[in-house]
Amino acid sequence: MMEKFMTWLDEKFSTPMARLAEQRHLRAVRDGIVATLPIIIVGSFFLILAFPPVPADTAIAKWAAENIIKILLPYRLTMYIMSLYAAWGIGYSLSKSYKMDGVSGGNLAVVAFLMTIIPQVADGIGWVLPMANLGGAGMFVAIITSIFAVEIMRLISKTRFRITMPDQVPASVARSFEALTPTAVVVILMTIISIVLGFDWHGFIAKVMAPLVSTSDTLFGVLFPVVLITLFWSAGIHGVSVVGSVARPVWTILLDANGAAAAEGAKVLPHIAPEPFYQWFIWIGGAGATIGLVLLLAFASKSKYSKTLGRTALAPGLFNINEPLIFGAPIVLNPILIIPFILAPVVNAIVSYVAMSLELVSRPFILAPWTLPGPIGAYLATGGDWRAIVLNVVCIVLSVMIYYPFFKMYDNNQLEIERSEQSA
Amino acid sequence: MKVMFVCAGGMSTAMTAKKLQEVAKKNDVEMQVNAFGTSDYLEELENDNYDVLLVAPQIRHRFNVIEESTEKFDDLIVEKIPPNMYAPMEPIVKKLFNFIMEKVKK
Repeated sequence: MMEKFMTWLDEKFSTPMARLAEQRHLRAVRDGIVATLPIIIVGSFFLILAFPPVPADTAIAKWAAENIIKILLPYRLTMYIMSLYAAWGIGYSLSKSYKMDGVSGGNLAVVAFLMTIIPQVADGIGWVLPMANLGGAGMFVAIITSIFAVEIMRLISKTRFRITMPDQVPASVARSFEALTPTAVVVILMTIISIVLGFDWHGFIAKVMAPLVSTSDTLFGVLFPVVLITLFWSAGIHGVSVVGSVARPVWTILLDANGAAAAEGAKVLPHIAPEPFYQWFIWIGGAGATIGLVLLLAFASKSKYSKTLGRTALAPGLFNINEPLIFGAPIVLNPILIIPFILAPVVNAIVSYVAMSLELVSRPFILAPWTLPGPIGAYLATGGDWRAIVLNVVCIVLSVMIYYPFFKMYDNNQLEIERSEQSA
Repeated sequence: MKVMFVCAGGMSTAMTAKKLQEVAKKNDVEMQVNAFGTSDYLEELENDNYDVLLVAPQIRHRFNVIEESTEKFDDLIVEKIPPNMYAPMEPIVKKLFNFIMEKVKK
């Protein structure tokens, strides 16, 4: 029975599903959004600066309160308009995957996306572009228009409408001429849709996607990807990378909404489950919440192999890298260790979700680098809430407890193998 | 011999890469092993000459895309790391070392 499940997991589930995530457009969306993460990480830290985690009567807090508008400007120009950067990245990646010019594809994607936002005239300033839909709220529109722009580019590159230059013309010049026809077509089409027909891209897409976005913030919406991701890793496939291809747009929308609310000074943020929630309150020590297993292996094991493995995997594990553990134990296709590997994150997710919905712990809105040790990351992600550290430590303890019986079985197995090898 | 490891971010492979280099040295094989992520391995391939490219098991579903992207490098050997040879511990890395030597001989 268990054996059958393992074969199914490996051959029928993870490998084919992971291949699906390698579909060209999904890949372009994934790479485009991943490329914006450094911008989001750096931008989100200005939110901490604006609301420093110190008592309100300290000099730093007073300085921050007085200068909040200026402190938040770097945030406004980075994380707050992340879909603009994502559009370029998606356009670039998709056109590269078609072996077309990446820079032209990126630019054309930005043109198409910007043409969904109508500029306004502001008194004394002149023309301005409303920024709200350049952020997470516009993410789906950015994805759609970027793909649309590059597909037009590809269609035209296959027809005789393409402008080609003789070989003597430098490549960069030739490239910009080749992009002329697709640019004209994209601009004209977008003008017709957005301006002539007055189609409200952002209103329409937000309505269509609203159920998906709100579901992703429910407990079910958290547990579903958690189980999927651990199943993928149980077959040895990078689950976050596969599931993230599809889920990351939604996670970034939740993150952006929380960031925007925090910037307005909201006390309780609207969403519980943007990506940092998974990172700091579920995936402690890496996917599978393996921090518990690595601690047990390093400090409580009797067999030689478990000890060596624990010592090797402990340092990377503290920084949420657990491939040595996943492939070294191995957890992959191991019927004993897969059980806590799925169970521990599920329990962590439920406990953390409940703690945050009861407002016992602040909700995350900062994207901190994922290789920080758990408690530090949890503290930063929530904008400096000490209770997040407590919750993180509770999750670590839970992980140790859940892994313990399975670790015992594993360690005893290894002991037996080592004994029989010695006597042989 | 120059070997490149590719994984999602290039972090987990870095540890196995270092161990592999040690094992190779013990076996008197000169082997330089570098680890890269899926976003920067191509650039590195263009800048430097590699003999072997190994794809980490957790991203084996991207193997076809990676293999295709390296077609222009004629002599490059592109292989998947078998899941049971991928952890930065001596006995496991030794298996990986033998695996590589076998592929290179062919």
